[in-house]
Amino acid sequence: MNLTFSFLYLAQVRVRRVRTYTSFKQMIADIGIHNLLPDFKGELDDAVDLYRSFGTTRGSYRDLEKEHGAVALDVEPLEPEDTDEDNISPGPHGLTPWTPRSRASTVY
Amino acid sequence: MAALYCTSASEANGALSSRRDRSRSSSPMVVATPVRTPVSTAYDNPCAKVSLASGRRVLRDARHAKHWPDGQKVGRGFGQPYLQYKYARAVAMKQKTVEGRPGGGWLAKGIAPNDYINFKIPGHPTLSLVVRNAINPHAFQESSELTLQPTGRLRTACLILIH
Repeated sequence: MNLTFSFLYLAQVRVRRVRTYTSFKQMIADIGIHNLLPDFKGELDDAVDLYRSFGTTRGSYRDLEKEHGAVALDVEPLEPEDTDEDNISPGPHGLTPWTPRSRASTVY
Repeated sequence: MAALYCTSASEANGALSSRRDRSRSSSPMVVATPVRTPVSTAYDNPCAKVSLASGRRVLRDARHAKHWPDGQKVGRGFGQPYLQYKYARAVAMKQKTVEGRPGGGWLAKGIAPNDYINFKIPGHPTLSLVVRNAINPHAFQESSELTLQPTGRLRTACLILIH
């Protein structure tokens, strides 16, 4: 029997800069494909198509782009822990397993 | 043998309930073996030695001191938008420095520099498991050889053993 399990992990990043655009195309053209989609092989229009293919619970990126435009967040990963003082063993590849406590301190 | 953790007992139970429905087994504990090995060498390679910067301690210290290590005031926290695993790894490796999103939603709350985001990373893209055996959870807990203690608070959730 094959099972595929879904594991949740958290990545906490610091926002360094916020830029708003009217479209994904404008955003990608300004920022550069490589900064947004590393390893992406394609042209600007291909990258735009990729972005528009994504979706959230609020709807597709294509529809949300028309309604709200696009936002680019310059993000900086926070340094990982050297030790685990909370006695939560790191998951595979250094990811931190999700816990209710890690969610409790954020603003929604 | 490595241990992987379900995110919550409810998720574990949900996954295992489906399994129980199909197999008519009553055991909520699973011993599983990975059936696929990741082979990619790109940034989306889950086996690459890259620690995804969860930064929980850094964030906690910064929030306690109310400023980041560079002196900037800590802003608000935003949680928890999803981010695909491969992009999260690219962020951790500092290859992906900008996250693009459509506006509205949580971004409409006025995100600003020095705020922080808890990205939620669903799933492991290449890990698929095949169930080899099931262990009675009570017997598992009473075993002298295997203990759930090293998992700390996660001992209340599901522990899956990978041979």
